[in-house]
Amino acid sequence: MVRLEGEHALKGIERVNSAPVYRLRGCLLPLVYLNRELHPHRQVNDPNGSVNIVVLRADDQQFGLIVDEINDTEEIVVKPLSKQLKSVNTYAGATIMGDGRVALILDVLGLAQRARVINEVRDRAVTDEDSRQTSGPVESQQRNAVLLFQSGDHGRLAIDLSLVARLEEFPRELVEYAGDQEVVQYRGQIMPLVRVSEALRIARAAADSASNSLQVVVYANAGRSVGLVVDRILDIVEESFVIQRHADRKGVLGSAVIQKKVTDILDVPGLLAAAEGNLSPAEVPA
Amino acid sequence: MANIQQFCTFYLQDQFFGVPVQQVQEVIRYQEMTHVPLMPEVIRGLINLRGQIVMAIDLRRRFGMENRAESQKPMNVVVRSDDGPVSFLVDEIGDVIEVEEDCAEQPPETLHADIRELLHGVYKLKDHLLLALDTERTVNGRGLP
Repeated sequence: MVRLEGEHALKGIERVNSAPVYRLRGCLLPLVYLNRELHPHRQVNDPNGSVNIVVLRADDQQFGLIVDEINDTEEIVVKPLSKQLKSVNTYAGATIMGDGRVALILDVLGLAQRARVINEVRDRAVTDEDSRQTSGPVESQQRNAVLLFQSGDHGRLAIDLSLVARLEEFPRELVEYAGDQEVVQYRGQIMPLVRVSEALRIARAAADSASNSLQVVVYANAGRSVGLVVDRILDIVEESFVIQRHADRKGVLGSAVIQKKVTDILDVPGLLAAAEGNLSPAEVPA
Repeated sequence: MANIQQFCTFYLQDQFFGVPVQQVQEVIRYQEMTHVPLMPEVIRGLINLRGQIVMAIDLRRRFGMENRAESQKPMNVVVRSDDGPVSFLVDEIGDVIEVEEDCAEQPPETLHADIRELLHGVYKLKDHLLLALDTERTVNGRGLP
């Protein structure tokens, strides 16, 4: 959190054309005015006096949220919102404060998308790129943030971080069934679970059946969430890598060397198609 | 033997409304609300109902009526919906009354369709009309996200 007073409040915030920025430890931090995002039709004056910036991170992008006042930090129990309120992606839930009042909880990712700090259509762009890559052995070199995880005894896999909505851990007893599909109740919705090792036909790790909880990578696309069950989350890295060997396997784009180890790059739409054709028919490539 | 239906009744402006008692969870006085930005103004906010967070729909706004005077605090009629309890903000609470199903009619065709769909029917009582609310449509129908 950064607080600018008086002189600094006026001078600290600079503009790149119309976009306000702040120099945070030598780097430009894009700024978002919470007032303007929540009240787009209300005339909001530039804050005078002091400015409070809350530094947040959505995906791999840092940004600063300008708020009127900072009250306190508190540990809370998040309660889900009714479906009407979920329709705007700005709120993650609500909670009841000590004094009985209801407080809204901002969804940082949704807010960042609303404020166009991160690109809403990036998911699609990546998938488009993916499908191009699968159609021909095009070598691509890009600096990508990926989530590394382990599935099965040997499977070392990576998924593009921009496709990941959240990481969750579910106790095993929360898993329910819709037909023969494993599902969990998640944020008021029924989220299907896809076991990555089964979908890719990797030998299941022995430890998997012993542990009491499931590590789940929540993949979100077009308002739908799918939980990818993995064995272990390893790391988040940002590296440039070349997808060198293109696999014939469904659900894998190819392999690359990440952190000096051979890693399979997951093709989530392909994986979902392989896991279950009817899970999200729109995403199944023709 | 005619079917008898019990209604929990309330007023909006000078109109007399009712919700079947089976759908009503409770009636409470005015509660502090937390406004939710970016939502249609029909949703007035969230109230804390004994630890449960409940959305409050202002029925005046739902029916396109003018807003209450600042000093007039609405009452909450908490109804059960498929999505959990929802509070309807109304002007004043009336009695629980019994009416015969026979004296109901469809709302008139001349009513605007968006408002017509919020009504189950109109009951012809002796000295006035009772407008029976369709709870589910009021919560989920057109005009709400």
